[in-house]
Amino acid sequence: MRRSWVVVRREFLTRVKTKGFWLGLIFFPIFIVAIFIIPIWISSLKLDKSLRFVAIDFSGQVLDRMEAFLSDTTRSGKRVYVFLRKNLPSPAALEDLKPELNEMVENKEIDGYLVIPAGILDPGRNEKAQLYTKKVTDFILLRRMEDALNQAIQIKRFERSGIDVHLVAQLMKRVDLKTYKVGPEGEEEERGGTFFLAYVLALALYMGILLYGVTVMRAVLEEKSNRVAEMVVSSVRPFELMSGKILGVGFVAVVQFSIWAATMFVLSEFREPMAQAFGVSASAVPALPSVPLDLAVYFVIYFVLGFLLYSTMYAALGSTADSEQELQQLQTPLIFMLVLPILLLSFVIRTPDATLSVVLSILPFTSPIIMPARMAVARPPVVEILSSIVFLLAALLVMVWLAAKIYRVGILMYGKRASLQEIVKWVRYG
Amino acid sequence: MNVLEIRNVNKTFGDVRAVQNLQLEVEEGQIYGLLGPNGAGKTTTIRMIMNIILPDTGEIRIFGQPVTLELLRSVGYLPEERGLYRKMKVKEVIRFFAELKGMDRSQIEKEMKHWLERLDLLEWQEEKVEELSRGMQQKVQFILTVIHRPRLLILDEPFTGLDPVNTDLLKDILLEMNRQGATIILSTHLMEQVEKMCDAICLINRGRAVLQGPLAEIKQRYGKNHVLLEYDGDAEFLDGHPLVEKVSDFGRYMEIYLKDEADPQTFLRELTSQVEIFRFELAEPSLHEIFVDTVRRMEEQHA
Repeated sequence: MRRSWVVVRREFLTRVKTKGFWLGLIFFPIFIVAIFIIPIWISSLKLDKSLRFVAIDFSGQVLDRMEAFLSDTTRSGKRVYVFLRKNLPSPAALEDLKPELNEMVENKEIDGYLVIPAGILDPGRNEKAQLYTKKVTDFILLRRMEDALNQAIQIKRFERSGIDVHLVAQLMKRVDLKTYKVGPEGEEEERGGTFFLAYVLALALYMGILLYGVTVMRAVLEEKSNRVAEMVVSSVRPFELMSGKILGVGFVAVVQFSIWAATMFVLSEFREPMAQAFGVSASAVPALPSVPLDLAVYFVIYFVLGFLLYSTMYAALGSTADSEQELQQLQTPLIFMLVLPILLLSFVIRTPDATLSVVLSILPFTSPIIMPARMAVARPPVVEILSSIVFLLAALLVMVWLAAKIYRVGILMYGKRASLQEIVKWVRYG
Repeated sequence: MNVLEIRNVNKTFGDVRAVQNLQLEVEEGQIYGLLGPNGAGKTTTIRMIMNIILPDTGEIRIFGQPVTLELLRSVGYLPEERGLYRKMKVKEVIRFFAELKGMDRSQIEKEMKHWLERLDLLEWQEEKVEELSRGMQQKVQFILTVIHRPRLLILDEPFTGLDPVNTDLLKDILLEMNRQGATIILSTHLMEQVEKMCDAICLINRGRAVLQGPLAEIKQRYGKNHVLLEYDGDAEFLDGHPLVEKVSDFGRYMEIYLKDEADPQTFLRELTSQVEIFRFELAEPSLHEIFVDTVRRMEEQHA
């Protein structure tokens, strides 16, 4: 036991001492904050230059209205959308003018030109307005133009039909469907946080299990290709070495996750002053959804069991290979088992009580990811939670038994990659 | 007491019979050499002693008992395939392995200082293993095998990869440990080392022990009709000479095996009439000669 501990401590300390560990600790929270803040920050940026369009309105009624809707201003307080009106007698005259206008666009004297046909107000004629510009990929610009155009034309059409525009606006006002989540303690207002929470939990489990499982696999391969294994097993049992490596990496995972979770909590608590520091309104930054205590406990249970189950399989895998390239192929089935729950996640979150969701949350290889997600959105019966944990424990025991046999032979075998038949032999006679 | 006993051990890998009916005994306090060409089965034998692979049949005992991990902890083992944790500091690696052997902190620090000094590695102790040359890494690995003062040392090719200075250093340390009571089993194909160090040897070829026993006895058995000759002149007449069994010609130096019934004095008289002689010595054959000769004769039987 004491010797296992020596292995655990070495594994833990050498990992914690690497630069990568500390960079990960620091940059992961920065990365998460950046994901939330940067898009909000960018969308709040104001243009520093006006956009100038030549506008040819054959109907003569739309442009003024449209301009009124496009009242955005630049940083220096000027209007963003500037329309230079041009009156033309006929569409034919436009055709004559086009080469000149195109050249102006080309020389960046203007940003484009807008053509509104004469019959645009008549719904039956199905006429289209046209925008000629280089900025065809600026989807925000195109959306704003189209919205303003449509609003202007609708109002004009109402006016032409003698309908009171204000009355229409009042009558057409949308209503919201407010949702409440009903639980044993009564109802609670739902703002999309539950969905978000389930997704975040599942992704954290998936990434954690995969990341640290692969770390275990690499560590095993390193020891094997370094030939260190042969020296170590003259002092400790192969099983002690394997479990020592898994636990060592496991403690690294626990430390890393705890620090990340604490950082996230602090960031969420202080999001308002931080948002202000970035010049972003605090309400735009989402708060960390509050995690009920029992869910947090289950998250830890499933993370620990899931990590142990998968890293045991990864350790066995690592011991059968001879090089990184071989591992790439060998680990495909494991990755598939881990990705499957993520592919089915939206189904499970939408219908947490469907048969498939229940089965996936009890099957040992998918349950570590699916069950916590399911628990975040629904309250599965205690029987299901218990059987899920029991199955997971049973699978873990079987895997440990299998992996110990494979590992014992694999770690000391050099030169050739073990075939499946050979591995079966190790297990049967080991 | 026999520190190591190997009885009727067989090991087969697929179609290859790596070790066949091996019998071997090492007495306490001996330095025992396992010799043999590459692929003869030396490493397989050692790995079976270390419980890394299991024999198909037969029995291996160390210190009079079947091999267990507890017993193996009082053995110092240097594997043939060398490797260390490359990213760890020299000191950390030594501490880790010493702790695995069950040593306590103060003991480790004391012994570590002693051995680093002895192997001239003190100034490298804070460096990462990967910064060291291969020879130095090998010396670090040697420290790992001896730091817990094992009663039995099993070294697989301990001298390969070392320069002459370090080879001598290692040899001196081994002899010293032997004087202090450690039994040493080493495999090597460097005959000179074996000749100087070993009390007994086992020559393995194609998985079989072909020659075994105390070194002095073996040499005596081979030593009757062996002539060392330094000369000048044309010695071609010796090829196919009725008194000569075999000749190893090094130009101006020769090692000659006479036939069993041949009389060395008659042979000497004949030589003086043909070439100029600077040295004529009746001697035990070198282990190198015995090794090459035995292996060659075996190959001939096989062919």
